[in-house]
Amino acid sequence: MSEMFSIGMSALLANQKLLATAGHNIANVNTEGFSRQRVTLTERPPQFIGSGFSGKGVDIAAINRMGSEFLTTNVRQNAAGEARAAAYSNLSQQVDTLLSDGTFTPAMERFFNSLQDVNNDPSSTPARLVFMNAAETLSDRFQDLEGRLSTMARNVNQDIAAKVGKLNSLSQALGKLNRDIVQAMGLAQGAPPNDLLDQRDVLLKEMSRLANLNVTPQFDGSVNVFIGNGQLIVAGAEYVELAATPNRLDGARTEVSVRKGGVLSEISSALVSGELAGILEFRDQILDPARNSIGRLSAVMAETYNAQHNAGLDVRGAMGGDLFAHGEAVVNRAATNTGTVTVTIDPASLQNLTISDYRLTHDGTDFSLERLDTGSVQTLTGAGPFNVDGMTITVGTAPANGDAYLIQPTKYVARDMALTVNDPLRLAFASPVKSSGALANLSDAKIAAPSVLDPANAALQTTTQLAFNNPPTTYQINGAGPLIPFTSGTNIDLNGWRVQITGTPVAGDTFTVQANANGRGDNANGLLMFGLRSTEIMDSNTATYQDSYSQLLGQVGARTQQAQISRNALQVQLENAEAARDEIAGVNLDEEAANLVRYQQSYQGAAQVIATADAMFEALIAAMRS
Amino acid sequence: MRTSTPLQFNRALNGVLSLQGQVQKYQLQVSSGKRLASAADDPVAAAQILNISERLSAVEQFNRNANLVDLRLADQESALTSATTLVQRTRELILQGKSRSLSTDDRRFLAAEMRQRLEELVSLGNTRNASGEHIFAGTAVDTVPFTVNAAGDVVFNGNENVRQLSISENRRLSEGFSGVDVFMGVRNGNGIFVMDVAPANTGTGRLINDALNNAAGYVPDDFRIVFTAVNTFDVINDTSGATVLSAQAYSPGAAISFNGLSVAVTGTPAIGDAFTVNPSENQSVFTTLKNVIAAMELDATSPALSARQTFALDRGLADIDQALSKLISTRATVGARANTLESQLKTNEDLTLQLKTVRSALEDADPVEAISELARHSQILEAAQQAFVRVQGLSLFNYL
Repeated sequence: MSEMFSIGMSALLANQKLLATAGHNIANVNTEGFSRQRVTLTERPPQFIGSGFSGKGVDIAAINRMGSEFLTTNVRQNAAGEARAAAYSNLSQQVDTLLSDGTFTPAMERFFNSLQDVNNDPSSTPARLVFMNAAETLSDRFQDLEGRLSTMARNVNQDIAAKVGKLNSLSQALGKLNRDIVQAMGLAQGAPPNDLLDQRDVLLKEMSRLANLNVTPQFDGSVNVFIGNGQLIVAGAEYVELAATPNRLDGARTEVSVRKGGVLSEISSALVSGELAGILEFRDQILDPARNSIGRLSAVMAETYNAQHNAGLDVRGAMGGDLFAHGEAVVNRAATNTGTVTVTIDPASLQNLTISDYRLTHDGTDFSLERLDTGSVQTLTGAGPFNVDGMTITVGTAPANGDAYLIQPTKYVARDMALTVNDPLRLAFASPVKSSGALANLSDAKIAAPSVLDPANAALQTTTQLAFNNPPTTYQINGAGPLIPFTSGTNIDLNGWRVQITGTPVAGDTFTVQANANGRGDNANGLLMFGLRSTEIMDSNTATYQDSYSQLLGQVGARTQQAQISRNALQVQLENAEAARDEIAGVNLDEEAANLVRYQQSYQGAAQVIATADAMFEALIAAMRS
Repeated sequence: MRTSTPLQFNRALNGVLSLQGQVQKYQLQVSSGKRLASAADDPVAAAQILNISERLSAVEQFNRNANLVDLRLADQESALTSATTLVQRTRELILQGKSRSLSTDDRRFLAAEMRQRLEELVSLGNTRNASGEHIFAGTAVDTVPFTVNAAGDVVFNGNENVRQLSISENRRLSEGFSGVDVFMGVRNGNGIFVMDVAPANTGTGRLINDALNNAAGYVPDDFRIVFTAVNTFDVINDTSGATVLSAQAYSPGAAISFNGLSVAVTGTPAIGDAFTVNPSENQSVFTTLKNVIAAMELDATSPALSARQTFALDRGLADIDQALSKLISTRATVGARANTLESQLKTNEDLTLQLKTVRSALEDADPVEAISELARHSQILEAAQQAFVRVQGLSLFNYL
């Protein structure tokens, strides 16, 4: 009888645990990372009673969580990939929206249209004022775009610091959990502390969302975590702190570093998934190229317009100066450098200007220049100055082995773009020289309008007479010097200008090139300024200003579109990975309801065993009494 | 297959959320009429749209420029028409003045009217346009181009540069002509050579019937016909000093041919009288009028003077004809430019239409498609929402 009591009791206890576990599962149905638990029952060892073995009831063998390490790892890795894509896509959308806002191209259009209005009416001061206003607006748009992009760069830095901080606190929490799990497993002689393990999986998933991790389980139940290319950041209860540090060469760029033995080493480039990787990739692939591209456009526009404006004559009769001011190339030097270099944008090779940054290093003999977007390296031999990719690199103090520089040719150019002319009469729309044939000329030969080759030539505006000799196959300049053979239509280059004479001059015909005094109504230089609009001046002479901006928009748009597509795909993959895990580990309320019914019935049965034993006992007592 | 309750819930919810996103997208397309919200929606199209918009704006500006050129050409054309009328009137006055039946006073009246016409012509040359610019001053638009100097000659103060405007991506058109081309640079005589009577002549001989017979044989040298004896003359090339024809017999009105041209002398030249045949030079229409006026006012008291007057009026007539043909050909060029302009405006219009069509195809949402997609997705969303509520209502606990 006592055997029946003991069997009944074991059944009651086992079913209570089954019911409680079902309750625990139901209670945690919405708990993040919870794995449903299952009680494993086992028969008690039987007793030999001579004729055979008699059963002794039920025991609880173990309480396990459902799930597999493989599926959990899978979820973690997919979460890291999805987080990278989501961060990248969200950030690139901001740039995409900024460039698509449709304020830049109208500013350019207005600049060119108002330029033409001045050409139509060069003597009209109101037209000149409108043009100056349009030029200011255009400069403002450049400044504004660069301003907004550099604000994004600062936000990226803050974001990186915040994420690194979060990763550190998660590492710390993981270390604590590791310690708790090791302790719990020691107490339970190896039985798994299911709920602590669930919590650790949640922590690991959150950490994976920030950066790509490698998780290695240890024999004592703890896990070691490696980040990036194998930097240990959590070992048992210990953790290593990450830091957001300024780039060695460019303090305006925050990088992720790991602190080990008091030494910081950068691991940014080793991050390939997680939000941090998405942010860093966005900075490299979208933000920096966009800033450089805007900078390059402003540099080329400012420089080409300055050159053309310099070749013109203003209403007051003076040669034009610069039209725009702009920022210069920036050189960031390592603190350990011995030598110095300066870099300027080379106005003579603007078509070679790229949107890349460069790393310049010295090996003791030569400089080597690495273009960062393509990785191509070239060696610069000698003392310079070196003209490379639209830049002029001038060496100052002698360099030493190990010197390193980061050159940002165009990044900060747009920041300081501004109109420098503030007097409408100082706009140089006229040509500084004009040409004419003498009224007394007997032939129909014509002289073309002069074009300016060298505005700085001191003799540019000196009156120069070309007189045809007898026979008129040669001409003389200012009635002296050699007899120059004449061919109709060939270039005559002198004093910084170029003209052509066409037709058949006769002896005694004279042509004069002289200062364009009193040419208020002249727009010859203005027409050349307008002509820059459709000149393919950028990207190895393949793109106009407008092309360059459209290309930027197209590239950012394509990258953003690509990022959105890849985020959507990775989201689906993550959902599938979570579904696969949930199929095994997730709680199904219907299932638990059914289990409750089943366990309740078993529990009632066990109770009935005890009641029966009791009834048997009562019957026995009653029989003894009678 | 086993699923978990949260998974069921999330999947149903995600379905509803993504459908909401789709509905919102089509709603935006319907309300804005645009297919693209940002470049990421279609990067290639976005870049093209930007380029097309820029070109459209430029074409609009080209049209504005072209209309401006049109107005300015019209200004010049009307000034040139008035000038032509004026010069034609002076031509009639010369023809009247040539009549030998007129008295000296009669000619003075004609000369007085010519002076009026000359002044009018100068003021036409100084015409200003709507912006106050002198239309014949070249690019020296602030300068009064034609003024009369102390000697009574009209001088040109402008320059010969003419402003051009862009009327398409690679086409520029001049706004007109500088006054120096129209009024100053007129060839005198017959446009090739010019006949003159030496001032010291004492006879009644004068030159008539100029003709260029052999353009290929013509050399632009100075020639002189000199009467060396009674009814005998030489033709001398003054440029080279060579005697071209020697001791020729004079017959009034007979053609004298040399250097690919022929002229005739009429009247009675005295011994030593000389006549020149030089290459044409530029002579302003104002100078021509001034010379004619002087000839008209000449008091022809002797046969020699009378012959001189007749010759000067003949010569004036030839010069006036050159000026007229210059005015008329200039006006024709201005008219031709107006035609060019018209065809460019038409081309620009076609281009605008074409660019707008392409842009519309790239950026405009198809309204029918957008609306039907919106309807379709709204419907699916509604169904998904209903399914969500149904499925979430199913639970075994309901039956316990």
